[in-house]
Amino acid sequence: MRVVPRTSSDPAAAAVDLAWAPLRFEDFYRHERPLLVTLAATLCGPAGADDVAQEAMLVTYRRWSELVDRGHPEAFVRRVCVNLAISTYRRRSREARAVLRLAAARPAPSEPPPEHGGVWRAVRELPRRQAQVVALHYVYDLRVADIASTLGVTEGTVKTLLHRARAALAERLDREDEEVSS
Amino acid sequence: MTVDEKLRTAVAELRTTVAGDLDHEAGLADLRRRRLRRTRRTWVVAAAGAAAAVLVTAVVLADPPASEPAPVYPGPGVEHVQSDQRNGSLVAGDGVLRAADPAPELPPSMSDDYARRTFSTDGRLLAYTHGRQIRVRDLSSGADHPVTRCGSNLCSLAWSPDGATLAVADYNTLRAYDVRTGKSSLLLRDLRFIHDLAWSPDGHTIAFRGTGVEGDALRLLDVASGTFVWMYSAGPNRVATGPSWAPDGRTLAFAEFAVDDDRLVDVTAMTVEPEEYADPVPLAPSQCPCVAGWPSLAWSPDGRSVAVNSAFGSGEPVDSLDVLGRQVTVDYVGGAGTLAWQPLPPR
Repeated sequence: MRVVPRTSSDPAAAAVDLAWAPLRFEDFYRHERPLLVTLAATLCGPAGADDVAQEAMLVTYRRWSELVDRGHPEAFVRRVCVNLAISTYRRRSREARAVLRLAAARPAPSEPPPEHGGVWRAVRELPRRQAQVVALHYVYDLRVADIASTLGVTEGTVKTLLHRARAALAERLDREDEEVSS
Repeated sequence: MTVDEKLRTAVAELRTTVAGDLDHEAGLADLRRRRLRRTRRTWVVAAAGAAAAVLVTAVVLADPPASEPAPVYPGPGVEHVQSDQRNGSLVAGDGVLRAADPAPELPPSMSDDYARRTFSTDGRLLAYTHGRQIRVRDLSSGADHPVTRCGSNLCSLAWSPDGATLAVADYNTLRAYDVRTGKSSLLLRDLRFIHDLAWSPDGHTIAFRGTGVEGDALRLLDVASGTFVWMYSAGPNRVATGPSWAPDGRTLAFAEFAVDDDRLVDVTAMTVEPEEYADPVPLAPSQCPCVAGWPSLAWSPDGRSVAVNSAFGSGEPVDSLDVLGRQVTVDYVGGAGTLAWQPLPPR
């Protein structure tokens, strides 16, 4: 288990140390879970976000000792979570479209209710990688370098994805705002 | 609103909606069951294939049961002071600094810079951290029980004025625990880090150091509405922390800490009138011993002194400072861990 030498007595500095060198899985779970559920909710909706986050934690739990030795288990669980969340959302969307084709009169399986003017609906309709980068950046306030290491891509790729995502979201959300006001 | 602002606002709302009241213990129990089930399935398959006996691996991840900690009494070298029937003993995380008569029977201290101890307003109850546990001890009966666990070792504690509720800051979450039932409610979870709590004597606000998108600041949270009514940033490379209320609730003292130098630089105070918060005033910067390490403050129950320590050092007392119109001694003491000053319970 790596130990981070403390250079300042400031508890906030110690808290940062905790973020990447937790002592036990239970501490990691309690600390990481709330934002992990939020991350899942941005990509697959609030319904089922807890399940997705829990699945990601299970994968992490099974490989805990290996991940702790390597360092940064939080990057691993976030990567698993964003991949699971996108897959879950797309599977549910396909199921919804299949149900509609089969029985037009029946209502589709519950799509998560629109929240905050459809911001997250717009994010989920972005290309996979763009949606993941947006979610990681805004939920965790991660820097480009940290997003890159979480997803296993280059920093240049993250910058490009973030730029394109913001442009697409700006256009889409401005259009929705105009439709609402008119 | 820019798209950036829309997304940040949406994240804050979503966080409250989906992650407001997660049951971590139930989640952990679920993971242990599912991991155990998979482990069992793997071994059954292996045993069936080899026609050998079935092995069951039980993975136990529960904490060792908490044993009742033995009480610790003040030892030699501790300054004994006469009780004035308003102030009790002055304690720090690592032990008793000044023992009044009668001295409280304290749980054993742990070697931990961030060990927390805080007395209820009537002096009868002590809330404290014991490793990762948060416990409450009835100092008159000796009864001691756990309240919750701390996810980090950086939890901060504060009693409500009526002694029924304990506010607990655990990394980035602030919750209120009913100490009899153990039930909790979420007070705040919008910041990155919450630390050093102090519940106002009128019960309306909780002062604490909080780190958010605006940076590091000392904040006053209105408990009923969950909104911030006051914030103070100490400036570049400084942190305002360690808030402590005067017993009459009209003055809030706190420490200013130089991050780069890792030391206390001043004790500051401000007056609080209903819905009005005066600008904080640094107290006696030229007389500050500026000791090293994370500072802590404790206002005496009689309102006449403010005790100040730092995690690693001690200093000389400063006499009779005028803390915003009253004569208050700012007293730099030794000891590591947060300071707590016990009000003597009525005999």
